[in-house]
Amino acid sequence: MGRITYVLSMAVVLSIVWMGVTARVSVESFAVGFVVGALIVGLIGTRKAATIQPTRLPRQIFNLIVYVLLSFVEITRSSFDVARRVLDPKLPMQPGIVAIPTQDPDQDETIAALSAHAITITPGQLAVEFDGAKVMYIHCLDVASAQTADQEQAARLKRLRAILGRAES
Amino acid sequence: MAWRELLGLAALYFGVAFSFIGVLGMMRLPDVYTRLHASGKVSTLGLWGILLGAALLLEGVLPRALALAVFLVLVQPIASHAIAAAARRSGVPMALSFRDDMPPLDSKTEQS
Repeated sequence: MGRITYVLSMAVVLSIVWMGVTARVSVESFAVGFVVGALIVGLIGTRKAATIQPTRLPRQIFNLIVYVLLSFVEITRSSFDVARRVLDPKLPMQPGIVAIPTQDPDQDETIAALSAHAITITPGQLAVEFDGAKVMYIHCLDVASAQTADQEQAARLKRLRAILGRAES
Repeated sequence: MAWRELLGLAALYFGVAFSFIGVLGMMRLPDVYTRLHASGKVSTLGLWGILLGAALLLEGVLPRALALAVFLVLVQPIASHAIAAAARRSGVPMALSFRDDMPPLDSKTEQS
């Protein structure tokens, strides 16, 4: 699939999303979404991000849905966690910065970025800095919560690789 | 449809309460890094509540509210990370630190 085909097909997808968001289905609306979408994808789009494998596509989509639902649960949990700490008169916390390896054998930047995004959503953790795609430096509201962070990252990595259609490691 | 208005108002109050807690956290917590936890996460849930309230109370807002809710989750961690990285690179210290695995600022962090 050539670059132009890729940009045009993504532009079609984006303009459909655009019509959904603006709740206005018309030729003009589609044209606006298509032109702007094509510009954005043409300028910043990379097609290495995800590999679609026809045989595994159902699994990829299933994993994506699970991932999105889990993200929503996590952000709700983390909001309540921070709210509980803020409302406590004693302000219980033991902040610090912890290094967490991405554990990714390919050291893929997309996976590192998505992992950092997922970590920032989990309760009391916030990605501060990267060392390439190898190590993430996480600010934790409670340093003790970082004890299980490596296992969580391993599970997260597995799911992200499944979504993006990377080879099983 | 009274139940819809009731639910909408409840969601609205829930959202406003969480936004308030977010601001309270901004004031109570000691430094940039901890404050980012309050401003980012708590206010995301607050805005979700307000969006849900709007979707229930007003006609035809649902698709836009849904899209905004998704964009918020996508974008908020990026903003928090950008602010935290900027603070760290310009040498803002943690007010309270129980552990710091990060190497001190030197030529290595500049290249990334």
